[in-house]
Amino acid sequence: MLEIVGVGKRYPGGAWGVRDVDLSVGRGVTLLGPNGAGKSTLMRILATLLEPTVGTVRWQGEDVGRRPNAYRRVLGYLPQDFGVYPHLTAREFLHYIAAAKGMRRGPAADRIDQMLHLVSLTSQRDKPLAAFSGGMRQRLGVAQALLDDPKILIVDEPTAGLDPEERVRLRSFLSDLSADRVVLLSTHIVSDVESTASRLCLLRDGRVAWQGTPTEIVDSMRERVWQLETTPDRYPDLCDRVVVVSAVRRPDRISMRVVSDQAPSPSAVSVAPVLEDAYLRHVGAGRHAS
Amino acid sequence: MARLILADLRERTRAPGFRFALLCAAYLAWSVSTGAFTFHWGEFRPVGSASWEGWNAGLFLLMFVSLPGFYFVKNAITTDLRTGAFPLLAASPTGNLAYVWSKVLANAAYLAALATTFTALVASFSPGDLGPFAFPLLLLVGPVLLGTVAAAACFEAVPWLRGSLGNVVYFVLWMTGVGLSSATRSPWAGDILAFGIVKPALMTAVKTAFPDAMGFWDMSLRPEPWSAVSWSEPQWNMVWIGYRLVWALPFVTLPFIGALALDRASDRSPGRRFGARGPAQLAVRLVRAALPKARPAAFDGFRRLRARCEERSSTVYAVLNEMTLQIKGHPALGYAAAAWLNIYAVLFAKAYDLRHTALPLLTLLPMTIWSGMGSHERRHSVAPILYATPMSLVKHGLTGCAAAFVTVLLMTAGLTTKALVLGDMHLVLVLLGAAALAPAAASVFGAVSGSRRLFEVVFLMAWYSGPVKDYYLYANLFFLPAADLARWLLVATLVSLACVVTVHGVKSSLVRVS
Repeated sequence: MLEIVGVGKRYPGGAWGVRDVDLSVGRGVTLLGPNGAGKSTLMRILATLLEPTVGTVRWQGEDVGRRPNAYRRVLGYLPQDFGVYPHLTAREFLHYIAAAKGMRRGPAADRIDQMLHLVSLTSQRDKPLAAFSGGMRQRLGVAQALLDDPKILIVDEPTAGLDPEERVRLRSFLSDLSADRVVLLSTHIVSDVESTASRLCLLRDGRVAWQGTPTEIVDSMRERVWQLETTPDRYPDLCDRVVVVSAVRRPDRISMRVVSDQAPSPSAVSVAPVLEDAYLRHVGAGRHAS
Repeated sequence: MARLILADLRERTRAPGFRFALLCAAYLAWSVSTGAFTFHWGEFRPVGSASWEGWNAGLFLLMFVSLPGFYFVKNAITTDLRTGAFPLLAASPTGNLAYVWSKVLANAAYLAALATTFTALVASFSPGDLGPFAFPLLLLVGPVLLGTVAAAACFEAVPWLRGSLGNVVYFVLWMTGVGLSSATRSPWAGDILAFGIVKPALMTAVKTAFPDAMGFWDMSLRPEPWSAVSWSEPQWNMVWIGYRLVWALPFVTLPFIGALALDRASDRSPGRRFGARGPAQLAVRLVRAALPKARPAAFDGFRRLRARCEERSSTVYAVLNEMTLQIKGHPALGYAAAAWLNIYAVLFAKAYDLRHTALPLLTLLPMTIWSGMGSHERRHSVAPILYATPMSLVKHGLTGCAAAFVTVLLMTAGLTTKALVLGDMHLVLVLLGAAALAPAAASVFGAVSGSRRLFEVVFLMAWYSGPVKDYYLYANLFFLPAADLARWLLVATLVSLACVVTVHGVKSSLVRVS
């Protein structure tokens, strides 16, 4: 069990990256939030790259900061922004990381072959990384994170830079992994959550805005999502009162899907909520249903 | 273009490197003002003359602007490539020439800020009035400053001069310039550092006071009991002014050359490396084609041996992988030169040649391997991955040092063997010392500065005064008894490794705080 207890990080200059974060991670948890919400800061704290200003991170009940190297032995981390050594080949790079993870050569070589196969880079394994595309580098990043079969996998925006097919494959792969280990994934793409998260944590302005299962958050939105039609002259006024999920303009009217605690107009029809509605209500654009 | 210059200048003056450069300028100003750093002729120099202090300060400013100044400013285009700003600018209507000139002018503003700081501090520290020196100072420093900033931008624009090779080439050019200026007794067109204006005036002053005095023009970096002479300031004339201005002309052409060489499609910060394509690549292909059968067998044997070594321990595994990282990515030409020098050392070189030809060249070739240490994970943005692994930064630093030590031993195996055969234990010990101390220094400098340049500049100066010029400290190593030299090198190695441990230990704690 990975526990985050009252964690906060204040940067030089006084701004808080994250604040008062309490979270228990047993299996898969997805951090969802807009850019700047503090997801990467929290991920870096969990990857021991950043020391929290307040609070602690505990793994199996022990403070991670006390023996970070013991924690790193069970950790796999894929940062949001990372580079590679351009002159090494994929296999050499993975051997380099395996050595840094303290693996022995024999098991590492077998595992590297498995990982390269898993991320479909076997045919590219002896090519210099300088020739790799962004998606190939991202897959290599996934391979290095899984190299020593970590008990905790922290992946920060893993689907960034991947094409739709690769994204689907990676999401289902991460979902499979979360069956027997702690997988913490951060993203700002709602569709990533729908297929991977067993638990969801919404971050906004560095604080936890909501946490639970995706089903719970969607259920909490029942009778709060509305479909309606309005005229162009009433549209600005409506936008001030509700959270607009979508708006389709037609010649004489506008079809809208909105989030609001009460029906925004007598003609509004309640519709089945989806995760995106909940996301927008809790962390989206700063506008909330009244 | 003004906005480009301003943006560039803001970015670079807000970086910690600028504060370091200002500190260097302040330290130089203090050392010059207190008389610790001075030019002299033999044991003589003018004392208590504001005019001399001004000339002396001007000459030191020349040296500062032209050597460290070059390395301070040679990162403008590289920064754009590293930060990803270069493709944005390349896709804009800004032309190559405007872009390179904007870098030249931003470089000039950067160095002018350092020069102004230096001059202001010297003026405030010195008792005399340095006001009358302002015009000559401009004439002295102006052309050199222009040459330095234009060369820095041009070197960055030419892909294969962007990295370490460019640093070495500039150092060699600078040493040649110093040599030409030191050799002359008149301010002719080859005298870029203007020694030919000051040197004859100082010699005249010395000969007037002490007709039998002997000595030579030199620079001292420590306080000495100087014999004072009265200084008669050289008077500027139109010929001298003309010579100084002549220097500006060739430098003005450098940005045009840079603009022609600049590749707008380039997206790699280290630049295309000399020897990575063209004749060297062709040679490598020919060799591979000529050995179609022998190659796989040899390589397989080597791979099996390596795998067997790696399986013995995880430390050996880490060291050998670090070696792979250090060795790859350098021009094949360098390794070919190292191989040839070893063959030359074994088959042809005599004892003198080993020390004065093979050793200087073979200690220069690994410089690019060393200089990447301590900073390559940051330069290639691999740090977030590596820092999250259980290998501590201290162990990482020590692993790098061990890998570089083995690499250099392999690169100098022929020279070492021949030295052992000839019984030159001093040479063997100096080689071992270089193989141990240089990586440790590189690791420390790289970790502190985050770049290769600091080590490269320091190493080139040490290399020039040591293996190339045989100056005092280095030459004395060969006069020590071999046992004393071994002890001295062992202590130095232990101290340097302690520095590696300390710096990487501090870095690892700072990484998590920031």
